[in-house]
Amino acid sequence: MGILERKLKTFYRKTKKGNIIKIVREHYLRDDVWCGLQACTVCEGDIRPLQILSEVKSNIIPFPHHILIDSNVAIHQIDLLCQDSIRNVIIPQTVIQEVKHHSLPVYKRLRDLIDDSSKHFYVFCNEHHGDCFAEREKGETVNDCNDRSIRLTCWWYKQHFQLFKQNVVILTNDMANKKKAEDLELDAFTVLEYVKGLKNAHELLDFVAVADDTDGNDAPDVSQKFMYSPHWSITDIRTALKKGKIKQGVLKTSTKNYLEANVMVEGFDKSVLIQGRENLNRALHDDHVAIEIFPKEKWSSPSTLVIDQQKEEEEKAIDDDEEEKAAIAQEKAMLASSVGEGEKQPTGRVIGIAKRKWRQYCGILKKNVIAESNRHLFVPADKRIPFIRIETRQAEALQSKRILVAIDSWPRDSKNPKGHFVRVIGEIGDKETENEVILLEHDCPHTKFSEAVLKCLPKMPWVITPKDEAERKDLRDLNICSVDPIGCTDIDDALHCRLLPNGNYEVGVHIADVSHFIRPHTAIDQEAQNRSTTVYLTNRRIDMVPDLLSSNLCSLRGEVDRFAFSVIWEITPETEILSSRFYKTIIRSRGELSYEQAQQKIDDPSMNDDLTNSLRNLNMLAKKLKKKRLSDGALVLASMEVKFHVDPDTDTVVDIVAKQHLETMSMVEEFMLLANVTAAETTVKEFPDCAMLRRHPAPPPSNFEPLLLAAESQNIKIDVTSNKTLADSLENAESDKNPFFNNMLRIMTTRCMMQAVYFCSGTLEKQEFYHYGLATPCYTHFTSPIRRYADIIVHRLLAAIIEKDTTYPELLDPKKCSEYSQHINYRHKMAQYAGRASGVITAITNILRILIKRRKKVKKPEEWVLQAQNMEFEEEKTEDNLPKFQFNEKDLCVRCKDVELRPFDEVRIQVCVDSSDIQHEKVVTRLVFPYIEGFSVKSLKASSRRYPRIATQKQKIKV
Amino acid sequence: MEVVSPEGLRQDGRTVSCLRKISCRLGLYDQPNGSSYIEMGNTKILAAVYGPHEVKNLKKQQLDEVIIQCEVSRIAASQGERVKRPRDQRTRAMSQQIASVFEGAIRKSKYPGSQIDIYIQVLQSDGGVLSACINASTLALIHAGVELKDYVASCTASICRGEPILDVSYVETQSSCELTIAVLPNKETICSLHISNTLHQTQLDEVLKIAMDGCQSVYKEMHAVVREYMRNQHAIMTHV
Repeated sequence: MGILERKLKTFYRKTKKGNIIKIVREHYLRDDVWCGLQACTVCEGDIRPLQILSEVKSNIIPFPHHILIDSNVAIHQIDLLCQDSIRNVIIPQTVIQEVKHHSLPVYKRLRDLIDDSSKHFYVFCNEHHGDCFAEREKGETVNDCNDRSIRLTCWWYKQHFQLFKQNVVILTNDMANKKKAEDLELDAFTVLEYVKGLKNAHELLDFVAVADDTDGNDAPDVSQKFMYSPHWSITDIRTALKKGKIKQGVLKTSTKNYLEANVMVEGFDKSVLIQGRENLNRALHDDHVAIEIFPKEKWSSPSTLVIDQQKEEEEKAIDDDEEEKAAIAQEKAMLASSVGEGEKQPTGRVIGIAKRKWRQYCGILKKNVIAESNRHLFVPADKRIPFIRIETRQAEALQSKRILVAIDSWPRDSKNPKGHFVRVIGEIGDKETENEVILLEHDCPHTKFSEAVLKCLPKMPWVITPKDEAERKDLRDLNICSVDPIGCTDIDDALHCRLLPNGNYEVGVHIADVSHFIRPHTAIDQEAQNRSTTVYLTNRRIDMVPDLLSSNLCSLRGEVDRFAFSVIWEITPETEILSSRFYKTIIRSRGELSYEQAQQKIDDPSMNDDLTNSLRNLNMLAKKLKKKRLSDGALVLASMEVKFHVDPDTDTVVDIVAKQHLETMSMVEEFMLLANVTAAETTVKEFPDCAMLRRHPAPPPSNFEPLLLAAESQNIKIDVTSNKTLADSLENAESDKNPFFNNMLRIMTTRCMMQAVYFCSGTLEKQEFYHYGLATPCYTHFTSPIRRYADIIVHRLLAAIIEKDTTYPELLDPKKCSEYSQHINYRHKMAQYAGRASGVITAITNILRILIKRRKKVKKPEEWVLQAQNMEFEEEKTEDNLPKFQFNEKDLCVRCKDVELRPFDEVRIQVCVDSSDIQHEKVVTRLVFPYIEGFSVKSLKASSRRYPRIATQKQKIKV
Repeated sequence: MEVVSPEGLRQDGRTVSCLRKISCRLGLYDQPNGSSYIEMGNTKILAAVYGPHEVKNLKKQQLDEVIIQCEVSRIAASQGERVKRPRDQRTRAMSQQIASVFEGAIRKSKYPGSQIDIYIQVLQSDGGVLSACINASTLALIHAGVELKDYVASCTASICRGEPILDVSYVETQSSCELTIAVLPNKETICSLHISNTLHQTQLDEVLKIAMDGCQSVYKEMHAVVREYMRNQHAIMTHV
């Protein structure tokens, strides 16, 4: 048993220098590649997912059968394969390799299906099977050879399965391949034929992707119909790129106008503007495109018009070619007329697409006016994505649902891309549905953990073995406690403090030892890395690691033994740090306190137990630490977050309150900062090339302009030369008439800031490590490994430093570290957006009820115009024949008739929900005082243009 | 790169603990005292042994034992791109390693005041060059009739995602380390150990174990070829 024969595989590859070299690799054929059928008596092997079938499920295939798929089917019909009724599928190794090469997300989904034991998918290593291996013949392309190999596999299965009265059919959408398979007397079907033939499986038809691999480029029909210009081939693009004739970049569609996009390319200061449907040439937001840049005469500036697809499409429900052509011409004229006056920008057109970034899109179905038609338009929630044409037979049922749709192709002769229905997300307005839409649109992985991941969890009941005890420092006798918000179940930090005989303090921060449970290279590690962060929505938490870890084994709960990664300092009463050390420990928390409880303990003079004294000491040290930090130039910024009080029984929001600030919060924060800084310093010292750090770049001076202008209007000087001067001037900025002035100024400062990002220490110079907001030379995240992946990497590095764990190649590779940090940055950003979006939705669904309640308590809702920038929306209103607003850039004030609004002026507003567009409901605010004729009254329609983000900010600072 | 697929096979279709195909021959040339050829997968090595003969450089002569010299060179066609210099720093280092391996394996006191030269040509390289060179030298020395304490069998191993793998090819070494050991199989002692790239000490044991097992299989292959050769030469075999 084992190796049967040795073959050689040769192929050619281009080296970095550009030389072409021949590569010869060995290829062994084996006699122990098994068929995977449960009852097979010939084959051995433990993995046997394929069942013995006896039921005839198809009208066109008169026998029970297993399915074998080719590569294109696997790549394009993955949504179909995910359906429950598609089971017992054989995937040749050739196919899975091609899928991996073609698209990693599809590969991952396919692997999940294979791991799912209820699907009965089996990977057959055909390339190493003696009978199924196809040696490439002279003049044969790789694809042809692969197809031949797949056919051979099918043929082998057919012969092999005869012994057990089983059968196999091959699914392929390639006609030539199908023909050749039929010549071999195999049962070959296209996907459409096959699904149509299935009994009781009409709904499956919706999942079949439109079979069109040609990208519509060689559609020969050159009639009067509207046509996009063909895309260049990849090789043409590459040669032209080398010659410098064309440029390449990522296309970013404008959120205001779906027919306008920007591409940042090398060699131009400004991004290149792509205007109009024809120039965009079927490129979608985020695609990597090749563009041709127009000569200077044709350069222009972005249009001032807001073009909403929805409105346009409604006006002309068209399906007719003639009309369509006219409509497109009209659209063009409209774009041309609306060219803005600003500075000219280079323009260009898309000539080819290097890489598609198609994903699945959430949205709603817009039913065709012709009732019996199966062709419908799909309206994506993302305004940058064009409508998608799909075919479905269940339009009636999908009317009030939010659905998920994938794009299959965009042929040249079709105005809109073609796609297929993937699944129903849920009823519009349903809380779960809305949550899922948020998660999908922000690309947050939120599916249940796969079986492979759950297998990596430790067996319950989990006990601490003597071996663990020997390896770890035992700190169970210390008075450790955790302080967290109420209702927190993933407790990842705990603290202790005790007085040493020499008068100094020993302070310890204990962090859940997640890296003990999540070992590198396991499925659970990969999943956590992919998720990178826990996502918090207002009424749901999407964990980065399974619940057993996040709320049990890794959560430092009271009165149970838990593994921790501890950092212990010796600190003088003057907060000078004498020593710091990291340990892997076992701790037992004396209590899970809430911020409020801890505060009560500290404030209550009658309490005098050890725990309370320890808390008091911590609090005392924290205050001193904070003072020191602030004097170094750390910024105190405000963002006035709101908190939703949710009634757990009815799951409805009872009240919205601004988050309160307690002393204990800054106590915990201070020590977490200290732990993070210590971790950063230690890792960067030992691993200068591959430490994962977090930096916060100083904002460019131009970012501060709005802040400076606004402050000037109140005659306040703000010095932004460094973080220290900024902090000082913020400290001194007060206004007599407005007690919230300082706070609002800080909120504005927050908006001037850059985003803090993770990075690999080997990729930047040391002075760039600086964290502007915290004023520390280097910083990282160490304290929340349950909800952040970056912390796990930091833990692993630290464990290697204290020689309690091993390293592995990827951990020490600066390139990999850099890749990881970019991925984590992306996920963090998206998680943040998702959290905010969720807040908005919760506000929308609950705001009316709360406002009614509130009105009893608060007589007049008051607020100040925060930033004149908000007024940009009023500018647009000119179209609607409303009173003209004049915006004066210098004084930052808005004038309308005799009313003048300046930043920080007092206004009175009304808050309500605008649900005219069901996909984009908003909280809108209406001006009540000062009263402007024609605006305050008719404001409903006008203010619907406001963005939800800004609207809620207003609502946030409501007093 | 995925070294071991979820189905448990490596890129070339081997399992984790499977050697590449080994084939070897003794006595290719008549002029040298001993010669051999070995293929371990796509790595192909030719070795020739001259001696024992008089010491050419009298300064180096040892009166009570033999001195061993080794020289490794690569032919121009041994890699995907032409090899410009047949001998460089790397082959020189390899030569010294091989010489020191056989310092421990040859019964040196049997040939006092003389010298043994081992010349090795790398015809094609695809991972595990050092170990193939050692195996080829052993065979050539046997063919030359030099007295050895035991065979010297060598093979490589590595670890990938926590799973030890045996006999790594060139592509597999790209993403992990390469441990080469040479052992005296009947005495079960290691006479040389060399690691390129880093390997954590906690993982050394498992990698070493799989490599030791691999060496035993290499030894069996070599021994079978030697026996076959001797039988063809009508020699009498006393050793089983």
